[in-house]
Amino acid sequence: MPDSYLRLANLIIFLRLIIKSRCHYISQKARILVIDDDSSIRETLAMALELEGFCVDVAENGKGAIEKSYANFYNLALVDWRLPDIEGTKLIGKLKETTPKMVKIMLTGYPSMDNAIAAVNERADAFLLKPVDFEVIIDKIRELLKQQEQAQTFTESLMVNYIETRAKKLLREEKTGQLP
Amino acid sequence: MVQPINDGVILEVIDKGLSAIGTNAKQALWNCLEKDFEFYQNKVPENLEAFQDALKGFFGLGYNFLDALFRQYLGEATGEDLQGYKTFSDCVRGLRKKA
Repeated sequence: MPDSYLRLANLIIFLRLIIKSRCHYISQKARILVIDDDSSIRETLAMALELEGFCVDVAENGKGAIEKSYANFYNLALVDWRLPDIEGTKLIGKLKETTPKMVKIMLTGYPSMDNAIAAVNERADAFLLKPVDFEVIIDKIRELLKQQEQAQTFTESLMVNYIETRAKKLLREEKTGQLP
Repeated sequence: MVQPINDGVILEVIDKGLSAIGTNAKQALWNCLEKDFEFYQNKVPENLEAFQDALKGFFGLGYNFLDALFRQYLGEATGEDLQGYKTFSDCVRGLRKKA
């Protein structure tokens, strides 16, 4: 491998380490898991997303992705259609078990109606084509993360309402001596 | 010999566990506990059973989920195996006894 490639690869690794160490302290940044067996796509996507301010983790196969999703929380997963050990759509189903609210985006270089139907049936949130257009993918990620945040705020406000209502009810029961 | 468990660790574990319901909901819960029931955060470690009952009053069976989280985080914070204990307050009582 030419020297310049090695230097570039080292620079990418160095930059990723710096960004990763920053992400560690900025926990409110969205966390993204990139799952692709092609290391060049995986690393390029990770680098591009980190430069956009996301915290990124990578997995090269389904097994690694499932293990990582058990150990960490991810807001979003970018899943390649063809993985060495599992089909992307099946992996989406498995990730739903570990992190139900995770946004899942399918990436494929083999677009077909069957693939799209399978992705929809497994509740993929988006279906994007390779070669990856970074602008499209980042716009889509931002849009889906915004929806996720809105849903979370809504759920939280429901929880706050529930707690306040429940407190009032408990107080009333305490006053009327209905508490067990 | 097990290190004595301090109140700070207990409060930290509870705070981390309650984060599962969301930051705003957690804040609302503490507000209600303090304002309506005069149950203050700093008094929680010495009144764990009462705190547990208060949370059961709010969440019913859902409290079991929070209790499991408290136990998990306590195990992580102390490095102790807490598998044999049924509730969070049992764990704390057990750790206090061992120390």
